[in-house]
Order: sequence, then structure tokens, then C-alpha cells
Amino acid sequence: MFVVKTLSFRRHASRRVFNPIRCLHNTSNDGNKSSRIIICGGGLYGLTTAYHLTKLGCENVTLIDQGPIGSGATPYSVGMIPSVLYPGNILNHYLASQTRQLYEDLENETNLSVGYKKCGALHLARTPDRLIFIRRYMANLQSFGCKAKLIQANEIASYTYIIRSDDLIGGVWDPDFSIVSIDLVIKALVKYLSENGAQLMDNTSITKIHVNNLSITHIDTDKSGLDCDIFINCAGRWARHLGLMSTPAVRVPVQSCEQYILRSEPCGVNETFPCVIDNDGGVQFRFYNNGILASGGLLSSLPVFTDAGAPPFIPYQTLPNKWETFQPVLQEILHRIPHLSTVYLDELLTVPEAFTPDGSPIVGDVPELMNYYVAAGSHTQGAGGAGGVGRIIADLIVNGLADISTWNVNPLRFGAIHNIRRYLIDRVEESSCIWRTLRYPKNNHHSARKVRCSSLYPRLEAAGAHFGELFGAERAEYFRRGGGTDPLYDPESRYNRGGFGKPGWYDMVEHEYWVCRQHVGLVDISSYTKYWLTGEGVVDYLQYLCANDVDCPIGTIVHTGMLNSRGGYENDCSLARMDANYYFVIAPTVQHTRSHTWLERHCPSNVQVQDVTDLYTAINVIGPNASLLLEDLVDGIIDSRAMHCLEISIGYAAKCIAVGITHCGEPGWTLYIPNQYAISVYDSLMARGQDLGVDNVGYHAMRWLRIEKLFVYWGQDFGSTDTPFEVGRDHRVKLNTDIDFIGRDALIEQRQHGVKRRFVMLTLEAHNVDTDLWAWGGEPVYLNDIVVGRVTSTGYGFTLGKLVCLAFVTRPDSQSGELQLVTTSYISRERFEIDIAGQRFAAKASIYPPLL
Amino acid sequence: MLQIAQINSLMLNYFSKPLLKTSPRLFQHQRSRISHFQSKQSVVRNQLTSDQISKILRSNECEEVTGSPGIVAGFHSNQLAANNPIEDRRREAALLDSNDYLFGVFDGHGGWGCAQTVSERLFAYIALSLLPRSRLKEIHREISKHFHLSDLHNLLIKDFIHPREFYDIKHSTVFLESLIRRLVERIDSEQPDSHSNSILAAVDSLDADISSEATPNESGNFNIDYLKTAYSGSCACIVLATESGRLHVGNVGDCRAVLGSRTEDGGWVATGLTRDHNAENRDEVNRLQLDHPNEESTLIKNGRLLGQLAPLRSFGDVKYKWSKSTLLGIQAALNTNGLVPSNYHTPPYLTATPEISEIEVGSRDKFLVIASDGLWEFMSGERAVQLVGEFLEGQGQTEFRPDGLTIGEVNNRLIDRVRVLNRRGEERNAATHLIRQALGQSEDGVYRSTRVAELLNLPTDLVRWSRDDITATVVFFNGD
Repeated sequence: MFVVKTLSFRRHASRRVFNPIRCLHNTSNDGNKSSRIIICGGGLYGLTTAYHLTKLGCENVTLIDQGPIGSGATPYSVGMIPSVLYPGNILNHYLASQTRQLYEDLENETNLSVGYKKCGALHLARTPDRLIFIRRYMANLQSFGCKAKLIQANEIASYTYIIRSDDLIGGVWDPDFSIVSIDLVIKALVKYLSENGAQLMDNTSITKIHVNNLSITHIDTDKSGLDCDIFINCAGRWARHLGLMSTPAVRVPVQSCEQYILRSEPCGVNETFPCVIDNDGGVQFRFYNNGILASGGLLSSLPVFTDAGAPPFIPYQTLPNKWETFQPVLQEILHRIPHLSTVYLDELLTVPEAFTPDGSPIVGDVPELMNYYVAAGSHTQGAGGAGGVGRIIADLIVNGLADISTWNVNPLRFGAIHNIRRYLIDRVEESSCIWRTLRYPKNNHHSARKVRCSSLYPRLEAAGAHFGELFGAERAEYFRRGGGTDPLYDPESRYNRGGFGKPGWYDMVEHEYWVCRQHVGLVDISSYTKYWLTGEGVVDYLQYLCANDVDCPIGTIVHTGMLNSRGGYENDCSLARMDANYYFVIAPTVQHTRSHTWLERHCPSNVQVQDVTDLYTAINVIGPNASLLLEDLVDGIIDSRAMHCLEISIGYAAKCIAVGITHCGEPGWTLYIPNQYAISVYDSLMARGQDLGVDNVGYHAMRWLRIEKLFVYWGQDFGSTDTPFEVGRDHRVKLNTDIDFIGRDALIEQRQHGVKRRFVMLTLEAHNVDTDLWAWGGEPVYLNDIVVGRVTSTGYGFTLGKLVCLAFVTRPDSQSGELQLVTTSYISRERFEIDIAGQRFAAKASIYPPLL
Repeated sequence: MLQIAQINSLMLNYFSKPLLKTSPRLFQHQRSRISHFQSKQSVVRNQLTSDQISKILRSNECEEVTGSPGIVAGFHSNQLAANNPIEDRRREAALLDSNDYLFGVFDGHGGWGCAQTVSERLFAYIALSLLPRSRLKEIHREISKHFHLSDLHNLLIKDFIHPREFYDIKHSTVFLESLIRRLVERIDSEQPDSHSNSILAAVDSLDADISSEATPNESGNFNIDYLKTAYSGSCACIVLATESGRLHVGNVGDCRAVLGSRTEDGGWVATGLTRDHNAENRDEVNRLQLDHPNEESTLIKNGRLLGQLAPLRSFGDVKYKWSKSTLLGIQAALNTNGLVPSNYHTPPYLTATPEISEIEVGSRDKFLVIASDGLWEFMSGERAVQLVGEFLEGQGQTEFRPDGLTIGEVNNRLIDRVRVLNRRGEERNAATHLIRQALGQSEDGVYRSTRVAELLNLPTDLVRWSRDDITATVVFFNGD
């Protein structure tokens, strides 16, 4: 848990944002162009970061590498650039397209070839589920303008005669898939940087990092000392240990695993050979030196350098080949390209690659230090995303904000647990293969589980809970009624295996849904982030951070966003005003690190921020009978109106906090109970609630409840690039007062100009819930064959009887494509379509929640 | 509960006959009875984890590489107790001033005393028989001048010390006095004309000494400890491997030595170097019947000597060697009864004289497995040789070199290597590998770790019902 730090930043009288909180604000930070920027690590991420910084006009960029430039994992990159990195969301499209742009520009700027070639790729499917998986991917590719198409099994041979296709059931052709030669890329980048004023220091190791006032001021190397204004950790598999070198330590949860690369001697293929992605066999192929390069692995890869110390530094290090372990992979390689069996082996390389706990790289500014950035953990997708990664870092440094929501790669998505060595080792063994394994919607990781368990865990487990995991927290997703033990870690179990259509747990969620709608349901939401904010200055402080007017009567609740200077949601939270100078703050689970960093960095000396997430067990009491149930148990009077909060005794427990919100739009209360009393209160609720129809409810039901009511969640539906107006929360903004707050100017401007994107609820029509594939998030939304948005989250609305998708939609001009104002009539008039795995479903849109 | 009571009474019955050595056949019968019981037991006892299994199996293992230019490259040895304490013993030793090695597996019965004393003393006796008289004289001189008596053992032989083994009585003056008496005797007599005869002579001398040390003196006094030792018994299998590559195997009882050799087609073939001395061995029964005519009906009953003892040759077991009057004297002195077997007409009925076999180690012969019957009741010699052979193949695998191979050839070779590695199993010690495979082998011949867990998880007082002590020593030969 976080240690409460009261930082000594004083708010200026002018109420402007104090420096040096760059990046978190849009202070167009031209000063950074002359800053002394030190990039540690001369791999692909370090080089592209330096490239973009130089390009954006930074004059004082120094890149340090402990060995020769590009001597870590980079030289063993397979150099494949998908049109959109898996799993095909906007950010991954941005990363890939920026990267392709970089390679094209680089060839022009340096007159050096980087071997960039659009060779196309075949994504193969051996099983029906894999075919759906790649069709969903294809739908995303198409929505980004790629001319990807579905191909039949018998057509595959026409793309390349060399691969075996008799066991395939289909595939997807991606014509924009490209390849580069990494050694050429490195040469070109080094040339560009040398010619454009960046300093490259190879064979230089950092020996000490000097931190003053939470900023890195100076670094010592084995050669000399360097003053530093901005520090960027691009140290690849050494990034975690470089992070640990500073005080306070910076968490960079990166761990190396083995990957295999096999190169054949020339075998009669030429440059027209397309890349072949055969994830059912865990292998992929590309053309290389007139032969074929195959890479891949099994369903889990072996973590290496697992000792407590830093990984050893050996330039261009490969690991000893474990031939016998490799044999099953080789079998798959030969299975797909039988011709290779008569070709001579050039070499097999076992290389260490850096992986993160969730399969995405770590890119952005860190919570621990003020001028510290990270770009690491490329997850074998370095060559495909490096251009975008470098661009994001450079944008953050020079412009203060990136062009795009980077939440999926943001360091703030991790907490303290993720950087624990044992956790990392256990988790990356699984996550390193995340893009090879067939993952179904709502699949959970099965490794490194039961990290954070609520006090009620044993009760819920006994009640048949199936647990999912978020930010290390075990959360009941649904309950298997009729008991039995949970096959939690068995990926083959009926419930866990899932599918892309109606899920196996549908019936259970339906039951729980109606419990909440008709009776009363209990959801353990202890993982929610919770703070005590106290102190004399707390109202002023929160008024400045929050968009909504937080100076509400004591005993009431305010929903509010904390915006950045562009008016986008940095955080979304609920404030319960317990006393004049005491707020109880509730924020989403995934925002734990993020909200804490934001609160702490703005905290004046007369406010105390205390993270009490682990002090309270939270029981969400949802449903029409919630008040009846509580009346019987509380010591005092429960105000039946919503949006109230009070400290109260419940059952045998004193000093509980009851907050009149349910986070899903239903009537009810959330009870925050000191941990040791939680079981007692839960048992009382369960016992007293028998007559009222009480039952356990999981997160899936809660999720579907809130989606049906157009109740959007930070992190799932919107993020730092979305404003309250776009999300449809105009009423939660205090522009009618003259109170200043971060983002106010941007909101005023947006109010004047109107919004060009709106959050809408789309109900699918002519969609057969039982037989059609479901939307699970990420599906493109079309209007007259033009992409106007993307689905964020989805759920089945049992009252509506339809599949409900939440999505941002825009209104591109049919000629120019320029975005126009999104009006209510536009939303209600148009017939939108949602593309689910290549099949379009008509959807009715609304910006208001339905009356249920 | 009834069942536990039944089992207990059966066991009491068993242990009340301390000199009884159960035969494998009897075990089969008992095991079926125990398995019925086991299924109930497993409900209450936790399943062992694979780590715990490995820890138990490996706790007595030892390995030695000799580095010798002779035939013996090294050995792996291990044992697993069923009796508490274990009654099996093992010993490996190098003869001083040579590259000759001695290996022995000793399977005690009726207590561990005899096996312990034989394992400690026998190799020194054999060394005495092998050394030339000139060297013996030298040793004698050194002992009487410079060394303490207790150094005598170390002048004759160098034991490989197992970390978890103890020397109970080696320095006991009586034993050393016996040894020095034999030394003097040897100096005054002719050296045996062959290695085999040396072993023969040594075994006979030791058994005679064990017997005489326990025999009551003229006044009828005796040492109760030595008597206990002599009353217990021990089978033994001793192998002398000479530098030149000749094996001399002496066998007393039902331990076995099996030679493992490569066949021309790359398979493995087993050659038994011993014959079990039990009632199933026709020659042994004939030998006894010739020695004891007219006792045909009482000599071997229920497959046992005088209805009691399974092995037909053994160290100790003076109950079947001494005269009836001596036994009666002791019985009177101890104020007990039942010390004289029924139908005890023409003692001695039992001898420790080993059956000797010799074999030249050829270039195809790779290893020798010596083990107590605890192992052999689970597997044949062929199976043991097969297992160790595969183990060797797995272990002997050198780093894979793909040079000059097509990718298809690489794959085929890797498939072979993976198969061999899988067969080797997880063990690094061939003896442990044998023991693990023995325990895990189920009725269908497939190895199941759950079966190992079941057998290891039996309560101490029930283990002896499902298996015997197991000792295995695998000797590896230098070859090309």
C-alpha cells in the first residue's frame, strides 16, 4: 500500500498549476526542448524515443547504452510490423501506424534502406474459435482502413504454395503487414541521430542516480557524470533494475522469458513470401535472407534471469539452446511448412525477451518521480510498435500530452504488487504467450492469483463464486448456485473456457440481475480504491481538482471527474462528504495508482490524503429491498433518498460508512465496513435478508446492470482524452459557478464549440442472443460504411431483452471526413451498424438511459 | 476399526517369529490384503507432494566416481527402508594399493545386527585373503609397532563413506582381535589359489568368527550382544571387480547381481550373475536333502527351511547352525523357549558358503545392478537392466549439435532425444531411478507417481506388509 506522503508543493495564489507537473497538464512545455534529456538504453525503444525527441526539436538528447547500441534483445527482433498490433484497438493501431511511418521517413531521411517491405500476412485458423478470433481482428483491421479479407482454406495455397493448408478452416489476409531488417533500422537510426545532434554514448553504464525533490538531477556513469532534467528508462530487460536504482525506486514490472527464433538456409522462397501467423501452433514465419525465419513458443515460456539481481550484461546475448524443449515448436514449424524439413538449418536462437504482467509495454511517465519516463517491455512486438512508443514519450515530454489515450500502456496501470519479483516471474510465464493463446472475452489470468482477497473471500468462495482478477484483487464474477468447488484455475472448465457468443455463465448472471432488480443483491466491491481526504484546505483543494461542485452539504455525495488541462478525465470518483473537512473518496479499482498519484501530486500542506483501500470491506447492497434490509440492521435512520452518506452502526459493527450509491444505477447502498467486522455484517445481511430475497451477486451482473442504464466507467468506457460533455455528464461540471478547476478553460471552449463525439448506448436489433456472436468491446461502429466509433463495453440488458453496446460515436462529414457536431437528432435519427467479426448488426442509438 | 485390529493381530503374529524371512510369494498374498486396507487409509492421510516423494526417495542416495583406470568407473547407490530401522546394509570399498573394488548388498533378517556386522567386517576379511603374504607380514609388523589395532581395517581397505550410515562396532576389540587372528593365521598358511577362493575363504572365516564370538565359553557365559547378532541373519551379494575387468560374484541367499549389456542393435540385455538360494532353486534343495537324508518331509516346509527361514544360505542365523545342545543351553540361560526349531535333527542346516560366479567384463557390458530382494520382488533383472540402460542413454546425452543437418533431420533426432530423456525420468541417481520405478509400477506395467505416493505414505507399522527394505547399487564400467 502507499505510504502517505505529504508533498511540499504549494498551490500558487493564482491557482495555476504548479510546476513541474508537466505531462499531466497541457502546459505547452517548450522549455523542455532545451532540457537535458537522458535516455538510458540503446534498444529500439530508446532509439525511436531519441528520434522523435530530436524531430520535435529537443536539442539536448543523450542516449546511453551499457554496451554497443542495439546489443540487448533488439538485434533478435523478428522485425514484423502488423497493420495493427494485437488485439487491434485504437492505441495499437496508433503504435503500428506510427512505426510504419517512422520506417518510411527514416529511409528518406537517411538514404539508408531499412529493409521495409509490405509483404502481407496470412493469419491462419485451425479451429472454429480461432477463426472467430481472427475474424474479430479482421473487423478491426478493416475499420482502420486496411483491406484485410477473409479467405477460405482452399484459397490459402494461392498466397503461398509452400505452406500446408489441408488442416486449416480459413484465414485472414492482411495486405499491409510489413517487415524490416532490424540491423538496418538500428544503423539508420544511429545515422539519423548522429546527424541531428543527439549524443550517443555506448559502453557506458549508469552507476548512480541522484534524486532531489523527487526529480532526477544528475546521473553518474562509469565514464563521467551527467546533469539531467528528464530521464527516460528504455533499458529493456534491465529496466526493472534500473528503476530500483533510484530512491524512491521506480516500478517497472518487466521480466525476461525465453523465445525461440529459427532461421533456415536459403530455401527457394523470395521476397514475395508473405508472413504467416499460425497461432494455433504458436509459430509465425517471415522471409529472411532467402530463407525462412520462424519464431514462436509453447503455451508458456520459461522466465529467465529470475535471481534477485539484475540480468547479466552480455552484449548480443543469446541463451543456451534447449533443443528438447524446442522440439514441439519445431514440430509445429515443420507441420506448417513441410518443405523446411529438407532445408538446412542456419541457426536456432534462444533469446531473452522482456515481458510485462499484462502483455502490453510500459510507456509513459511514472508515479514515483517527477521527471522520469519509461518505455520498456516490448513483448516481442518491439519492431511493430517502437515508432509509436517513441512518439508517445516524445509527445509527453514536449507537448505534455500524447495524441491518444495511452491507458493500456501507462505505467500507472500497475501497482506495487506487479513489481514483486515472484509475482512477475509467475505471471509473465503466462502473459508472455498472451498473443499466441486463444483468449476469450472476459478470460482471466490463471497465474499469480489470490493476491488481494477481501475479508469476505471465504464466504463468497463457499457460496460458489467464480473469481476474476483486476489489479491483483479477486472479485466474484458470478456465483455457481448449487455449490461445488470453483474450477478457478482450470482453463478448460466449461465456465472459464468461454466463447465469443453467449457465455456459459449467462443463466447465472440473469438470476443475479433479477435479484438486484426485484429483491436485493450483495456484491463485494472491496477492491474499489478508497481515500480519506482531510484537512483545513480540503474543500479548496477538491474544488480545484474536481469538475463538479464538491462543496455539498455534509452527508451527501458528489460524483465528479478530476480533469486534466484538456478537460479529459484523469480520474473519476465519488466524494462522500462526511464532515466539513472530511471527504470519503471512492475511485475505481484500476485507478489505484493513478488516482493516488494525482491526489498526492496536487496536495497542499493543509490536506492529508490517506489511502484506506485496505481498511474497509465494501458490500454493495443493490435493489429495491436494500433500504428495507438495512433499516432492520442499522443503529439510526437510513435516509431513503439516494446520494446520502453517513457513519453508522450495522449489525454488530460500529463506525461503518454507508454511502447511498451502487455504481450501477440501481437503488441501494454501499457499506464500507472495517475489515474485521465484515463477516459479521455480511452474515447479518444474509440472515436478515432471507425474507427479502437476498442473494450473492457478482461483477458480471453489476456490469450488465450499469451498461443497460448507460452508466459509463472510467478505464472501460472513457479515459484521459474524454471530457464530461462527451461522456454526457454536463450536469457534473460547475461551469455555472466561477470556481476555477483544472480543465475549466478547455471545457468552456468545448461548450462554446459543441462536442464532436458523444457517448451513446446502442441496442442491437435482429441479433440472436443464442446463436449470433456477441459484441465484447472494441467492435467498430459504422454509419453508411464509414467508421464513426468503437464499442467500449457491452452487456446483455435483461429488461430490454437486447444486447447493449456502449460506444463513442462521431459524425464525420460524408465528403471531407471532417468531424462535425454530434447532435441529439443525429444520434436518434441515424441507423448505426456494429461489425461483429465481419457481420454487421443494425443498432438503435440513444444518448439517454432507457426507462426501465 | 475391526480391520485395524485384524491387521494388528496379523502383524503381531508376524513379528513374534523374529527369524522368519518372508518370501516374495507370501508378499503377493499379503499385498492384496493390504491394498484393501489402503483404500480406507488414503482417506485420512494426506497425499504426498512430488517434492516430498523425491525427498524421501533420495534421502539415502550416494554417488561416487572412482576416477580409476580400472574397470569400475563409479557407482550409484540408494536404499529405502520398510523395516524400522532398516535391515538392509550396503558397502562399497576400494582395495588399497590396487584398482580393485568390492561391492556388497546385505539383506538382514530378524534384526539388523548381522547385516551390520557383515557389512562392516567382510571386506577386510576378503582383503586379507587377497593380499600376498609378504604384504600381510608388513601390515602385521606395522600394526604391532606403530599403529593402534583399530587402524588395521584402514590398512586393508578403504570404504566409501555414506553420509547417513553408521559404523556400529567396527572398532570393537573383539572383532579386531578376530581379524588379527585371521591375519596371523593367513601369514602362516597358503594363499588361496584364486580370487574366487579368497572370497569363499573370507566368507567362511567371518561367519565362523561371528559364530564363535557368540558361542558360550566353557563356563557357559556369553555376550548377549554378539549372541543377538549371531541369532539374526543376513543374505549377501558381494562383487569383486578387479582392475583387469573380471567380476567375482559371491552370493549367499536371495540378493541378486545382474549385468547390463548393450546388444548389437542398441538394446539392452540382462545377464544374471547369481542364483537365489531359496526353495525355488532345485539344486539348493537337492544339496540340503543330500546333507540331511531322511528329513525330506520336514526339511523344507511352506517353501522355508524347517518351515521358518526363506533363504537357504545365510550369515549368522546360528539357530540353524549350532548343535541342539548349545541352543538348549542358551535357551535355559535366557529362561525362554522356542529357540530350537522343530525337527532339528542333524545340524548344521544352514551355511554361509557363497556360490561364486565369475565373468569377464566385455566392451558391451556397461553396468552391474546389485540389489536386495526388496527390489526384485517388484521387477525382473531384465526390467532393471532396461531401466538403467535407458537412464544411461539419457544421462550420457551430449550436447546436441545440429551442424550440417536439415531441419527435418534435426527434428527426428530431437524426437529420439526427447524420448530417451523422458524414459530417464527425473532422477540423477540410477539406484533411485530403479527404486522409484519399482514402487510406481502398477499392474499394467505403467509407472504412476500416485502409486509411489501411496506406498510411501503407509504408516510405518504397515509398510513392511506391502514391501521389503530395498537396496540397490549400480556399478558403472569404464568402456569406450
